Amino acid sequence: MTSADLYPWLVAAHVTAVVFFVGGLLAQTRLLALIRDEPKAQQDAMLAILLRLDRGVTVPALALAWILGLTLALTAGWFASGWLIAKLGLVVALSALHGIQSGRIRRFLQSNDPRPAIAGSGPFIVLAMAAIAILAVVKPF
Amino acid sequence: MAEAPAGAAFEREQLRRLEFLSIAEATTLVLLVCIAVPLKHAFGWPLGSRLLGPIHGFAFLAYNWIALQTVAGGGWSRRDAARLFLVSFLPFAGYFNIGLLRRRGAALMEGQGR
Repeated sequence: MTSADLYPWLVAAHVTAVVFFVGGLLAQTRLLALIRDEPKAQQDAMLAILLRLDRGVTVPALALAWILGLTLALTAGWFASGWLIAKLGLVVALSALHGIQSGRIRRFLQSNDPRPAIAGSGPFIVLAMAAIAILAVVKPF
Repeated sequence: MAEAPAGAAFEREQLRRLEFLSIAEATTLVLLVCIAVPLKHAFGWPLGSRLLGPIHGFAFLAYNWIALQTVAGGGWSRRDAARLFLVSFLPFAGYFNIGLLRRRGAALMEGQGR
């Protein structure tokens, strides 16, 4: 099997990993906004469950998405393309957002403040994913 | 009041994870810079750097991501936070994280009164 034969399979695996990661990231963001008015004990219980879900699903999906994405870029020689550089910037921002929100959740579990939600993160994820899809599929530059 | 047990347990896990990745990142960088790259240039043997390059690249990304996650958890001085990120660029420097991370882990245990 040549690398050209393998390419669509790697794309499929990469897209699958991205779907799981973004699903986990959106769930994390949404839950952080929804639990705002719950009692502290209930918030702690829900956030502890969320952290476990992160470790079981979202983080492995993130790692896989990075490994497969970089393999694809190296295999096909996309690193010279402008669209990939722009996409990488958005991917780094989404990965960093997940890292920062996870860190804030741990901080919240240890103390009462500050609140872990980051304002505007939900719309940012949606817009960034739309831009990533356009960049990866249309390859405008 | 002592820290919430769930939060402290997550924090200890996080420090252990960062320590593991710190060692992995430092080791792959040392192997790449001190063995694979000289072998490539001095003896024309590129396989080592072709294999270790991507492995180190992933270890570097994973380490920096976990470091960001750890610092976002709060309680880090600017100096220690900057140090966490800077060590990933220097060979052997990642090993100097081990003491810092273990001291923080021990302080966390003391904070729980254990």
